[in-house]
Amino acid sequence: MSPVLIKTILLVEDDPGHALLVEKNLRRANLMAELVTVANGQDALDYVFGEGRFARSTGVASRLLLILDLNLPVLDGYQVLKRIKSDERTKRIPTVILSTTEDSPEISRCYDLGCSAYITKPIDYNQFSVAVRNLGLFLAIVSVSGGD
Amino acid sequence: MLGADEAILKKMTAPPDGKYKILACDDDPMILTYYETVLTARGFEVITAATGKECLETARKTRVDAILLDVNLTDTSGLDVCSILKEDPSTQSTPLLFVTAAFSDLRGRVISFEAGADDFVVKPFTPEELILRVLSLIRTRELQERGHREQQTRALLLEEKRHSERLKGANEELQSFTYAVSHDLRVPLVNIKGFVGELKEGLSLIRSSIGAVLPHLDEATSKKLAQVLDGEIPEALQFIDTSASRMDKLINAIFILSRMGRRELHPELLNMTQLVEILLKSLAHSIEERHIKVMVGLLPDLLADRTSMEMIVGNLLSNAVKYLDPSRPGEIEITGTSDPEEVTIRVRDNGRGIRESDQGKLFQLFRRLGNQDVPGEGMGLSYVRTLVRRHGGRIWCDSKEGVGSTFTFVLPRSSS
Repeated sequence: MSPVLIKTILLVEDDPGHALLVEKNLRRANLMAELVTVANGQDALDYVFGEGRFARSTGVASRLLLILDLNLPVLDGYQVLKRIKSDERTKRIPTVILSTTEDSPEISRCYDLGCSAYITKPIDYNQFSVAVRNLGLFLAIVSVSGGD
Repeated sequence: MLGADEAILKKMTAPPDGKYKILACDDDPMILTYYETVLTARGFEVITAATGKECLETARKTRVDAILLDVNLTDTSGLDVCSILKEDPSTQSTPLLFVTAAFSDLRGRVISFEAGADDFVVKPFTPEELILRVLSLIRTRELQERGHREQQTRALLLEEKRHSERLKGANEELQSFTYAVSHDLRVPLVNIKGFVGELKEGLSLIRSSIGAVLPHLDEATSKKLAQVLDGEIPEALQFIDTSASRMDKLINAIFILSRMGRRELHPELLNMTQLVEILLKSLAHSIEERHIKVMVGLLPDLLADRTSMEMIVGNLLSNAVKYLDPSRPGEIEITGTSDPEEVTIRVRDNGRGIRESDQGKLFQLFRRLGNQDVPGEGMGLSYVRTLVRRHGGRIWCDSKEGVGSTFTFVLPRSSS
């Protein structure tokens, strides 16, 4: 698969504090992609598929990276992940799970459903920064190689 | 016909274990002799009583299987004797058969039943009729008693089943509650820690640029500002940060405990000598540094989950190392015994020991006893106890302050 230029990062996070921390750390990594934040699983799917309040003429979102919390209202992270990974049009969207859960069965379940990476929200601020910065770096590389 | 009846009677009169004991009461010695002859011939044991008083005394003293009672006694009425017997808890369940010529009419029968008689036989009667009535009463009573016992057993089993289901339900509820709580509590903590970090970043930016501003302020303000920026704010942030970290560790410890309660166990036959050797290797540094003498006895093999056993023994060994008394050379001994049902493992040390008043709290969550000079969460022994219990075993500690402690755990041989 050739590298894809990431134009938009969709952050699905219902806790505004967590969303802000992720955003701040992504910005610190000098990430140029547009950041969209939604607070529930249904909005996430609507954004990805271009439906509901995110209806757009171009249909399914392109050049997208998904950062997905697991405990979400309306539809949870697993349901969102399953929908996206079982649809031909969206199954290649890189999806990073960001969760407070360190339970190994849950981690396995996410990988089984097709997530690209699973990051537990580390309580240690430095670790947290490193985790999100690593993610940013990964995005930057993808963006650069995709732009070539 | 009579021959066939005889055969049936013979068969019926053989009691399952030992003889049926009959108490026969009549003021006529001829009739008593008659009972004795007839009943003894059929394999019954007969006790006789010539008066109502004697009948009551015998019935209270000796357990009998049935009572034959004449209605007309010289000292008292048979009906009164019957009423007394049926009111006394020690005799009321013994079947009672009235023998009478007087109650041949319906009114008489009603009176005898009201007095509590189980049945009656009217003179004259054949020996077969008497025996059949007596046997029928005894059998009925036996069936009633058996039914009652079975009912009790069923009720007990049902109660036990209900109890264990309630317990299981409560336990599952607690597990999922613990899981949810530990999970949900981490969400706000991520924010506390995260934004303390943001504040620290902001503060360091202010501190690095404040140098240019300070000369323009009067001395008092500049001094106060420096004090706040260099001392008070970093100190406050540090307290928040440390407390949040501490809280996170506690929540994490609860989370691990709930995971241990839920984790699937994979029992296998474990070579305990090998397992202990590996665990001791991981402690080798402390053991050598403190010149601890470690003795490993013959250890029985054990059917258990490997990860759990490593945690259990590992925790006990590292505790033994951690809590040695620095004033004397440390000694740790691991021994084991087994019998057909159970395996016992002991970890003994000559460490500082545990105060008797503290021993009850030893396995409780977050309990850290004695001097707080050794770092730890106070969770180790809670984990250990959870894991031992999940293996169907038990663990306890014998300890004397200043002498040492022995931790003993016992696991059933078969996996449960």
